[in-house]
Amino acid sequence: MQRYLVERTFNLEGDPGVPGPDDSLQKHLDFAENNSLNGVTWVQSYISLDNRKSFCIYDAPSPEAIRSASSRNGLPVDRITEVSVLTTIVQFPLDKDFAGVLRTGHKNSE
Amino acid sequence: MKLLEREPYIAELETTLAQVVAGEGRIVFVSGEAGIGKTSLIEAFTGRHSASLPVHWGACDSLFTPRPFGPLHDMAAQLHKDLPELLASDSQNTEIFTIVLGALQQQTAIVVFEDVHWADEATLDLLRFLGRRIMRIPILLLLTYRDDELSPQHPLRRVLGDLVTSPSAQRILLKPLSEDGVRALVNDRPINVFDLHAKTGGNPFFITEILANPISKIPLNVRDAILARTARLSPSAEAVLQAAAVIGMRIESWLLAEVTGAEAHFLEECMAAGILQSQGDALSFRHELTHQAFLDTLSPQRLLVLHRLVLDSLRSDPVTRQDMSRLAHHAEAAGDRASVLEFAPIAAQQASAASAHRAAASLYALALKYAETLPLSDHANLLEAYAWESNLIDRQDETIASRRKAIELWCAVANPIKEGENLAYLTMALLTHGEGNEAQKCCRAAIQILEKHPPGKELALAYRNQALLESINRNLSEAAFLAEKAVALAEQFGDARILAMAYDTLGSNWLSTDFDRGSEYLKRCLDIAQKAGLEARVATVYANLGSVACDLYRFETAEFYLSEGITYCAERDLDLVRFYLLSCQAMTYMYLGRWREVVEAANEIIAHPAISVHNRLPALVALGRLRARQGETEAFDLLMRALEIASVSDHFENIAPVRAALAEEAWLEGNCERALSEVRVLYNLAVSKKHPWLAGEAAFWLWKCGGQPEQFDWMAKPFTLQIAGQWQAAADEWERLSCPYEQARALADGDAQAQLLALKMFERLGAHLPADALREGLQNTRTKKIPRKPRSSTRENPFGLTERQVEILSLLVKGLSNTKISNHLHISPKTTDHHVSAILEKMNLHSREEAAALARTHPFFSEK
Repeated sequence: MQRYLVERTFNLEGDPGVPGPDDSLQKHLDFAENNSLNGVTWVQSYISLDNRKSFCIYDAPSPEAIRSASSRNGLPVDRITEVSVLTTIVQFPLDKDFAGVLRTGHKNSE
Repeated sequence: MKLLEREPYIAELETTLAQVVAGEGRIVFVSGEAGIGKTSLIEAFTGRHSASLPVHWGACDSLFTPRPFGPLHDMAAQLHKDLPELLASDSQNTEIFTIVLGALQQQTAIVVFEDVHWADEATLDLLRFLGRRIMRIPILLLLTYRDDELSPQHPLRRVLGDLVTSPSAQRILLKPLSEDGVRALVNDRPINVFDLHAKTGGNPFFITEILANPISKIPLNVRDAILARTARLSPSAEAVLQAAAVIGMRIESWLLAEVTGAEAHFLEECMAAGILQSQGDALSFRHELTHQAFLDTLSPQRLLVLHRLVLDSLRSDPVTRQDMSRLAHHAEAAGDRASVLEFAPIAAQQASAASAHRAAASLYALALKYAETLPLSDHANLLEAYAWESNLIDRQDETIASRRKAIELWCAVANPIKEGENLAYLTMALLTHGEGNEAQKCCRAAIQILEKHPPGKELALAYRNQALLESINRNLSEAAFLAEKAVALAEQFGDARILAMAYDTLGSNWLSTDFDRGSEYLKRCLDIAQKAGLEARVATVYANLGSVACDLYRFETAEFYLSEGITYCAERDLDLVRFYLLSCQAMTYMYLGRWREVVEAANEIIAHPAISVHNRLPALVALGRLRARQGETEAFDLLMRALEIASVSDHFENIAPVRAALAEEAWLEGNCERALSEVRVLYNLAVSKKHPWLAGEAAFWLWKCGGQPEQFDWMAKPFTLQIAGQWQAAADEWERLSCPYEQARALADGDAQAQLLALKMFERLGAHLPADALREGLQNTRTKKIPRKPRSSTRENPFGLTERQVEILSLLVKGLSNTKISNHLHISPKTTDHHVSAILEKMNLHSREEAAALARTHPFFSEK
């Protein structure tokens, strides 16, 4: 599993096109199923204050899987970027071998 | 893949390249519809030589405002180490041209400019510059273009018209594949060859696109054939293709990677499918048609998003963020108004600095689409810049509209100086647009506003405009008064451009009534304009001085300014004015008795397709008069063509010289009745306009045809003296004016001795018609020692050789080698070869020695 950030831009009305509190349970289930069919797990999303852009975190086997799932769910995809968790380790007193920023893969951190 | 049915073209290119390797540059235009195989042909050809010769390759972009020198950027680093930096800075075009020329002169090379139907104006100027000098550059310059995309106004047409007539240029028009060619491509596939050939029109690209897919039925158009290739692509590969299409025809790998993120590696799938290909360190679509087809499949929403991503990446890269045109293009497509306003004006300034005024105007127009949100004064500044560029590309309607809008805005922010300045510029645009009354009103408004405030360069301009308007209305003293005020202000405020304009108006205003005074002012204008690099102003002042001096029969003076102007314009490729100067020069040579040069100058003008009819007029009249005096029948046709051109505008200045020439032609023919009908109207008009020379000449022909025209003391002396019977005084006047033919014509009215002198002068000039008439008269009066009439063989060159060929033959007689002849005449050895073979062909001989021997014994040459 890799972790991905998906940038999306919504149409001019700013409708993010995802099921909300007013939608039926079935719609929520369909959404989840389209993801799981492609092995995609939704983690978390952020949306811009004007509802025009969203930044979504997914776990998925490949970017292509995300693209298929999005397509089934009718969600636009601007760009898919593979990401990892940024970990900062600061040791005291500061040791130059360990100081600074260390990057670890999502897989390793599990 | 092997190219089909292209061997003859390759062979033609090989022959041309051999000439280039031998030291003489050539230019080849390769044209044909999209997909006909222009690039494939050139790739196949250059592929044969890339190991032994440098190949410089640049392509033009289909962007709506291509960046200046687009294709030159592709080859810049390869050509000269300083060139990329020069292109990035706001260098003068001439500096860039000189560096490119210098680099190309170093070694034999093949230089390719692809798709020049999309070229920006700076590139077109460069191509014209190189094309003019191609004989002295050891390169094969290959230019490809789609001939079916050239509208009649397409800027490439002017370059083509200019260069295709050169002996160093050739054209290759690629033909579609024949049915046999299509059959060879189809091989053993189960496809109806006849049907495929008919549906594709034999277009090789269309056919290969169809054959790349398993076929059920032949797609109707090339787009469907192209898109069939993507039917099998994965969604991620398709996403990569979409991003690539938005980036453009040439795709930087890093940029595509940034825009496509985690899906970047699907590029390989696109390449395997034969849609994208690598091109040096970048990528490109297999064909521009492929690019266009994909671009058309994108939804508006997807386009917006992708253009925004591309723009973000471009502006964060230190190299690509300098290409303002490109940034503006993506900003516009991304709907990013703020970025359009940030980049488009800078891109426009850069385009303007590179003399790409068409591009500059469209970039300003783009910025203006979003300018409503700007502070009013910023908006007004953009409008002014747009008006300026529109004026330079002669879109006066746009100039007028944006000046009016700018005036409104300056008025709204209460900036009267700016308001006045724009009114002044609006005056000029209105005048050029033929709205004299509006211009008058506008000019008065400008002065009224500006005079209320401390004076500045704006008021100088307004005074100069008013001077121009007064001068047009023949209020010469009022015009002079205003122009002098303009000069004083422009000087005080140190504005060279307006100062040059003011001196131009002041000088031109005096020129026709007091030539010496006028030319003093114009010389000052020339000086200022030259120092300030105002090339167009310099050129028009030369044209003004030369043509007015010619109208006033000051031919030595005219010749001085005309040749100076021709040199100035030739060095700067200022063609429009150069052709007019050449045309006037033909007229000057005619009066100065330099008839051989008349023929050469006039023929260059008359044969050139790109010269406006107005510029042809003086040359046609000069050649027409000369042919009439030589007794050639083509004289009448030439003058009728001139009359046709002159009649369109109905200006006295245009028509009168043609009528005078027709009168002379009719009189020489002995047709007094026709001469009278030409000259009667002319006489009345010229007298009412008080035109000394035209009225003088009209009176002269009326008198020659037996009339008794009224004469005035302001009429040109040489004519009235001769009418009064003072032939010697008239001849002296003509001699003082350096007009040998007119001098002889006056002497022909004199005693036997004078007539003998006239006869000799006519014969020396080659004025056979008056010479014969004079000889006949002398024989009747039994004058002694009349020079024998030269045999016709000595008068007309016997083999129909051109003047140039006669000149070359006479050098052959002197035993000069072709190389020496080339040096002597400042022409290339190849041109000399051409002439020598043409001479041999016309004389029906096999060797230069035979030609020289025959010429030595022939009276025509022995008397030379």
